[in-house]
Amino acid sequence: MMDGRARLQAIHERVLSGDPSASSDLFLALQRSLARVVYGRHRTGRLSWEDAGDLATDAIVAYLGAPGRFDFARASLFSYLVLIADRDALNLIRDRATKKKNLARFVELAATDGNVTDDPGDRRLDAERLLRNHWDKIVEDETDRRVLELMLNGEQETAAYAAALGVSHLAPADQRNLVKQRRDRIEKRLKRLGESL
Amino acid sequence: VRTDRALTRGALLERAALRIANDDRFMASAFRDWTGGDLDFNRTAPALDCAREAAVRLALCMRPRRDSVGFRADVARLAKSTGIDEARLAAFIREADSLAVFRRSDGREMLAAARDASDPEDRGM
Repeated sequence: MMDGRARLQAIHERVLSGDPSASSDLFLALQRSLARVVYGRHRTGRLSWEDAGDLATDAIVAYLGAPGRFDFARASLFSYLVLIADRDALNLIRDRATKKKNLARFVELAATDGNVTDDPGDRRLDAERLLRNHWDKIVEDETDRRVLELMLNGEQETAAYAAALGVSHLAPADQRNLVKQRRDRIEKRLKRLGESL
Repeated sequence: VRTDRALTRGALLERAALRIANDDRFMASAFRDWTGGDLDFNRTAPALDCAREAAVRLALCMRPRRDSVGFRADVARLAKSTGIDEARLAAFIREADSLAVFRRSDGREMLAAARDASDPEDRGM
């Protein structure tokens, strides 16, 4: 019976020779162990099992795209794939952290002075993409949508928000209260979204 | 979907097949071509007359070469590796290829082929 290293070397040689079934044997032999290692190393970075599985898949696909780059004399195939998946895991965690930070900053700006239109491009784009993907968690009705759009446009006038809420006929103090309540609710949801990412 | 619970090997392999279904190098993409959109093992496994696990295993293999000699040799290897009937597998892949061409050409190439086939001169009449 072949040991693990010899079995992987045999699969590697089949991949190099163009055997179309070798990729499947590689997935069967390594994908779960690879996912387990990636999950174990990065779960504190909030990687899920699904993430770990996808990273393992991507590492195997990357290897299959250029199997000649792997040198069996220098490392085991498993270590080589761990290296690829590990690097991608760090990039994924960093990318998610950046998006989360950008959303948090975006919410902070929207909450303090509504000055989000002058926000740096990347941050604003990240925040807008996240909002699009999680729109239903932020916007519960048509009024929420109108208020959020005003916030995204950097609107600061209470009168504009009062019109969006349909309360322009009320006394200014009442308008301010209702506008503040609605904006606070939306900001709370935005913050919750940021924490859940 | 996110979970902290370890996924079974079967679940991970199915997820891998779904992830590579847009990569034309893999059989998973032939499955997608055959179903006309999403990769659906509930449809492809019965069409191949095999267990779901064998269909998933096949999806993770590479697509056979296109030249006739390479195609036959690769299909034989895939059939041996997955336990799927070789003739059925070859027919399935050809059907997937034809459907992909048909969709890409909005049916024009298929219609042209059908027109050629119905041409009396082509049939030696």
